[in-house]
Amino acid sequence: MFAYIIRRALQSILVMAAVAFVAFALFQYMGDPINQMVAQDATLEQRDALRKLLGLDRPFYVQFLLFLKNLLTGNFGFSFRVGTPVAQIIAERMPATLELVFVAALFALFVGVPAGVYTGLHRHGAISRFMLTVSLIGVSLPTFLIGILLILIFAVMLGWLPSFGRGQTVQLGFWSTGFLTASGLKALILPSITLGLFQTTLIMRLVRAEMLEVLRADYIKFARARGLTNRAVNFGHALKNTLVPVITIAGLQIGGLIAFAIITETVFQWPGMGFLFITSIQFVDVPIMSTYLVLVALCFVIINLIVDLLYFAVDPRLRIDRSVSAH
Amino acid sequence: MPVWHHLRDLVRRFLASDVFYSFRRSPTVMIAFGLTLLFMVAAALAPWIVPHNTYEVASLNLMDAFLPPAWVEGGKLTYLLGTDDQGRDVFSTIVLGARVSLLVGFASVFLALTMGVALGLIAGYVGGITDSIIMRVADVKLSFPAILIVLLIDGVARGLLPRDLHDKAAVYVIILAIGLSTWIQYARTVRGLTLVEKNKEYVQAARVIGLHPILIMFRHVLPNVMGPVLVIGTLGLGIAVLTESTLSFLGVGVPPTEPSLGTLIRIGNNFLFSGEWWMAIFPGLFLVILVLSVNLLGDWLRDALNPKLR
Amino acid sequence: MAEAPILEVKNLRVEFPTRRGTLVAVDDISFSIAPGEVLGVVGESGAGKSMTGAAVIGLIEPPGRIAGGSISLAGRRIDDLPYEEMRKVRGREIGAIFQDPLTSLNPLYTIGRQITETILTHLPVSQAEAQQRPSGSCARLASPPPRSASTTTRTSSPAACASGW
Repeated sequence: MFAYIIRRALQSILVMAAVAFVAFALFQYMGDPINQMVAQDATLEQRDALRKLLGLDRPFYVQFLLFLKNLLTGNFGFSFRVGTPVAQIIAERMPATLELVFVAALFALFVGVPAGVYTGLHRHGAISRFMLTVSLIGVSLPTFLIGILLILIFAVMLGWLPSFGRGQTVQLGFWSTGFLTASGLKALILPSITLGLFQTTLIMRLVRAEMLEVLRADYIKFARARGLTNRAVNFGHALKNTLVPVITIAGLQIGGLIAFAIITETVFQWPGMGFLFITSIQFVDVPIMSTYLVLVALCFVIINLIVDLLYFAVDPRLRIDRSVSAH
Repeated sequence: MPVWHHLRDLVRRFLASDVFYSFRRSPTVMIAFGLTLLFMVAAALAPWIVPHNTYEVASLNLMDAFLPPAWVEGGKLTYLLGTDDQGRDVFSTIVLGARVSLLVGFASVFLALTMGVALGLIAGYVGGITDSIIMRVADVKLSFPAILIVLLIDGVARGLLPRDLHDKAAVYVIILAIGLSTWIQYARTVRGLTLVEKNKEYVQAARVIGLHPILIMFRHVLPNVMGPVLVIGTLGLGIAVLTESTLSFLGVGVPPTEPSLGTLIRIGNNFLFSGEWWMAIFPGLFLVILVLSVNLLGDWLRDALNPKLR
Repeated sequence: MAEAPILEVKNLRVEFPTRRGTLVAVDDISFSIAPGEVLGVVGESGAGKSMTGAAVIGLIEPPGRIAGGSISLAGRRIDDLPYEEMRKVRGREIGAIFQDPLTSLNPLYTIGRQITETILTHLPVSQAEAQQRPSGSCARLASPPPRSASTTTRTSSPAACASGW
């Protein structure tokens, strides 16, 4: 078992190293950062001096090591566009994104899983068919369109909820939260539904498919042959076996939320990291782009690791087997 | 001619198959298929069938801007779904925009499919180190959502290419980006299926005869693994169209000179709250119907080809 | 044979509607089993042996259905019982053991738990009493030490213990 953990940890470090390399390569080859940072009329000597100061005249591998050192100590450079330290900008915007992703994930799990279980158990019912149709439409709608429609209906036509921004936030140390104010909570509703809807339909269809597959298994047949109640069969056996693979994929979907947050934040003008990233792409603000890349990759790697370990803990089969092929 | 007979046999076999039976019995799927076909034909023939050529700036009449759809008071019949802020006919922009969206969708799926299937076949059939390498690359991608990879590739291209060159190449960049971020599912599926087929007798027989591995892979194994690939491809088309329109909506997609459905929604969004709803709603509606039809087709195809559900 | 048969199957017919017409899986089968008697049903694959067994315990998957005949257990008809009534018969009065013991038990639970689960479903005993029973059965089957049955999952236990009550 420890061999498994160590192997996964090593794999994660490898991936992070590769990502760091890509991020660094971005810096090296995407335009001359010096030109981005100095005024138009800076002299050649001034540019050279700045180059020396930033260590940009040193050989490739030295710069890479410097880059890694900076990353690990939290020095992410300065934004090309606004000049402030990237670390500061990201710290300001991170809570917004994380709160949004958290609420969206809760929505996806608490709506998606029960819906999936219901449509799996009552396969041919009218309500199931209705839910499946709605989910099919949900998968065909792009996230930004959902956002626009929700804004149109609930903010413009009905006026119940705000159409942009985070509402009032409360500062707790370095974390600005929208959970503690009424306007903050109201502002969270539409964006989190928008963000979570796609994942909800995905989780629902996944749970349903898995449930149907499990219900066909021999041990379910045997459980029925033993005269167990429907409740015992469906919830004691089928559900538990369904949830095991669902945990993996649902966990990985959380990662998708972080990515789709980019779209949602843009539609709702939510001051988070996603919105920041899009702006940085439009302006080719490389420091922000690379830092976002590295941070998001870190999130994914950690999520993958946690999910793999959780899977390990829940499924006893993996504990007994010595050699495990995780994929 | 033997080719003609071969084709005719294939068609006959298809019409008698379970797949076609389930198709005939499902009116929803038939409508979905019909709609998809309609969209594709219309998109392909777009430049010739649109009532107004909205690309030609000279033909636009600013006096006709902001007209509502024909059935609303103030609308004109020639502009069936209204006009936008520059006097462009919304219906024409939608058809032309669908063309761009579908072009990107098909091309990227084709790219991902060819890459993925080829690599999957090789990994599964040849095995060994080749297999390990290919699968490691796939693993590194982990669960990074395609959209992030696409944004990254687009950002890099934007930084590397000068402005005007980037605009011209934008479409190709997006096709490349979406293709590169989605080939892995094809590869994984095909690899798994190839591993199973590899041990079957017809493959052993082909080996005994002495056929070259490439011939065995592509002429014998490939037709047997194509089923799930088609399902992934169909659903992938829907996803590709959605991804492209998302990129265009965000402003990092196709250049505004050749707008796709996503670009149209982006532009329309600016006027949505001031009352000119038709500029965003109609492109949005068409986009959803298009992707929905493709998804319905893909779903039906997956159920029809799944032996366990028969 | 003087004793009344414990299981009596008369003219059993099981049908499956398909797109190409109705498939008759079991066609007019009749047999009776007396108490203490063992009946072996032999046939090639696809002959309908499993289907007959499934019909007896009432677990034919729709759209398949019993289209004719009768099944009686100790004189009482069981083929027309509602689901909940039949459920009480299954496991308590009729046991079914499937071909593959490795897949017959849920891999996520221990064997012991699944055995006591069945006992608790049908008999009004306490959890502790229910847990005593499997040890006895497994000991009689001369398989691994009884205590370990409650903690081993089916992957590491021999097939014999997996299929005993």
